[in-house]
Amino acid sequence: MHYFSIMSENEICSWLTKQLRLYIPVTDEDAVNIAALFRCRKVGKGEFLLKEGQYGDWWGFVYQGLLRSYSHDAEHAEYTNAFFKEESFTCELVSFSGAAVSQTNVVALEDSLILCLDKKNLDSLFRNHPDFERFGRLLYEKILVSYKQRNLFRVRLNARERYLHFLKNEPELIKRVPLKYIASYLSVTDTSLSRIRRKMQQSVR
Amino acid sequence: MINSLLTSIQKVITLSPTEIDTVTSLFKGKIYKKGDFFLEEGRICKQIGFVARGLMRFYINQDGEEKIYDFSQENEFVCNYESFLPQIPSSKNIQALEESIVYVISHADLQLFYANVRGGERFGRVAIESVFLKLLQDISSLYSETPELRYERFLKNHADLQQRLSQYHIASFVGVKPQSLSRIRKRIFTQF
Repeated sequence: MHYFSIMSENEICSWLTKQLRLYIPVTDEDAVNIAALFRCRKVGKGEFLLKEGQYGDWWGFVYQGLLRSYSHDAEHAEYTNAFFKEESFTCELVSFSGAAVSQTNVVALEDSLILCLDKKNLDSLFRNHPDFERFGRLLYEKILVSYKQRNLFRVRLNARERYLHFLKNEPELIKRVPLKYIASYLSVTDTSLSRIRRKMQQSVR
Repeated sequence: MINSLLTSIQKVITLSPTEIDTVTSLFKGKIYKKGDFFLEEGRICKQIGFVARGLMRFYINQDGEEKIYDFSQENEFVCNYESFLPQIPSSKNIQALEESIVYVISHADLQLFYANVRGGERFGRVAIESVFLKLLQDISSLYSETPELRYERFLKNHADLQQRLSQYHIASFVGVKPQSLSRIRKRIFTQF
């Protein structure tokens, strides 16, 4: 694992304080102590933040950049789980406790900076800052709801509706993510997605 | 009966005698008869339940068919979090398969639990972490497992449920027609 001290401690601290205060009250002093436990990881475009078979025993917050999480199905075909852009939270819970290795890959689609908190430090925060438990709970709740809604869309919406939903909710990602990965995320083939997009453009004209 | 709930909470956090009283007053005992709904599609999930006795199934109506995606049994929590947390209508159903005794806590009372029980937030974080972990494992299983593997996993994780569920319910959970399930069963059991 490479750690770079690219960002100043002040930058890290003020950015993290902002993230924490979205959920819990934090004094400036606590914020400094909490931020000191994070490490900044730089992952260049095409490099991996996490690979299948490794243990992802950390929490990550994307400070800058864009990453894609993907796994393989029974036929070894790739499917995209999620995209992580600025301010996204990423955590590979399956391998978090050390019980099993990760089945997931997280690769950078753009040069990225991720602020990582190792499980050891996370546990000490949970022990020493009761409010941090609340932060963890609210963070997990938010992500749980978004994962569940996405599963539901896959069942309830057709390919075109899924694309429209993505377009509406992630207008920025449409510009930054290669179409083949959007297709994989929406569980449609590249050709179907192109057809859907072509038809939509025609109907606009 | 409420002791099983208290034991379950105390596996994660310590409760003082006052806090035990708080928990006991926040969770209300309810009986669901076989076939009663804990939650119906279109309604907002207003409570989290703890199954002290009984069995519930989670299902979704898809293309005119009921698809079972989970079960909750003794000592497990029951809730549709994507409806409960944002308080929006549910697209899923939760129904009792046996007469069940469930201790339920409302959304408002859960906030009191977090505020008034010292380790409340910790318990909440640990509980939601395990719900999230299970969701990730379910997604991965849905993508990467054949019906045979899903059935074997069902046998492993819910060995005791085999006797309590109909073949129809098990087939729905595995994601196959009942006839295919008997074929899978034959294949697996003749191997031994």
